[in-house]
Amino acid sequence: MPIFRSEAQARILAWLFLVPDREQPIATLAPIAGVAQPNTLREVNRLVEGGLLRERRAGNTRLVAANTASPYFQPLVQILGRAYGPAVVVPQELAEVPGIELAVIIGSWARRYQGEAGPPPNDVDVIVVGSPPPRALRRANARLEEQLGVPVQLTVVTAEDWAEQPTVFLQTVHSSPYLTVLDNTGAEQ
Amino acid sequence: MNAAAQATIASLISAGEVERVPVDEAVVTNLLRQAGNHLRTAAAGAEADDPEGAFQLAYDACRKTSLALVMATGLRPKGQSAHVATFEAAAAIAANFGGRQTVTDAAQLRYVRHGAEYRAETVSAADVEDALAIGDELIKVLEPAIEQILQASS
Repeated sequence: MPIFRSEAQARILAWLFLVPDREQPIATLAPIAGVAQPNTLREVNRLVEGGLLRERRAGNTRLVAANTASPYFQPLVQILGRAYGPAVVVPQELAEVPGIELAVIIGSWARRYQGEAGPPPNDVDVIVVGSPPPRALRRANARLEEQLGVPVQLTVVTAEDWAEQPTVFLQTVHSSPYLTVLDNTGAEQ
Repeated sequence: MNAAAQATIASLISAGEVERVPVDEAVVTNLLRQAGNHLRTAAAGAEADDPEGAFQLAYDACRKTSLALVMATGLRPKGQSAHVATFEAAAAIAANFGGRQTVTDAAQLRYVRHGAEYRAETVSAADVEDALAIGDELIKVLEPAIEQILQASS
């Protein structure tokens, strides 16, 4: 996303802003930033100097976290959530799994995405419509949790149930905000 | 055990999630016997239209097979996340025997288990069938590994 200074900067911000109680040694951020340690350090230093990250020292270790008191915190959470959050990562992972007709994000992530104010949700709920192979779906679930750093619940429902909403759960889903992130229904016809 | 497995085990020990205990061959054998029994009962449960019960038993069979491997190396998981620690330690050890992916697949059954236990979701026939298949694969891969470990230590 060309909004940010670099992809590495955006990834560091997303990792720390979308889970604001996450506090982490700078040395462990390089794999998340996807660049070498010196570049990661430069990006982190800029963000600390700019007041977007707060820093704490524990012995020789520099720990950083999102500065939730920054006036940019809330708007950045919105932008990062949109650009790097579940709405982007969930369809990327689920596109690899066969047998999925539709994937929709429900619950607090869907509400935040559609503008409800509040801190980033601490889990992600997704309805998967179709009949994906269970093992492939569970592997995707694990990769999603690794990438997003929060619990991810995938609930599989059949296309028939999704259309007819026979349960209170599905009726509630349909009457609340939800976000369709993957739609293969056109491709299959 | 290779260096990566040793590092994983060392970090689990220092986090207090596993502890060193003397190897008790009878306990290990008993766990494997229980796992085999659980898989048979699970398969019967699936036939008898009890997918949730069948799944729970198949999951438990996977956990006990993994626990047998961990205990054969003189380690015992403890604490609140003992299930997680069991699978983490077993995956690290199983990497030496080509069984890492199967243990990981077994550990990931927790997604279905949590859905069934805590969100009252139903368990699909496909999930039961896959859990039974993973249980069988796990025994096939880990039983010879466990025998090898016990022989080497006796």
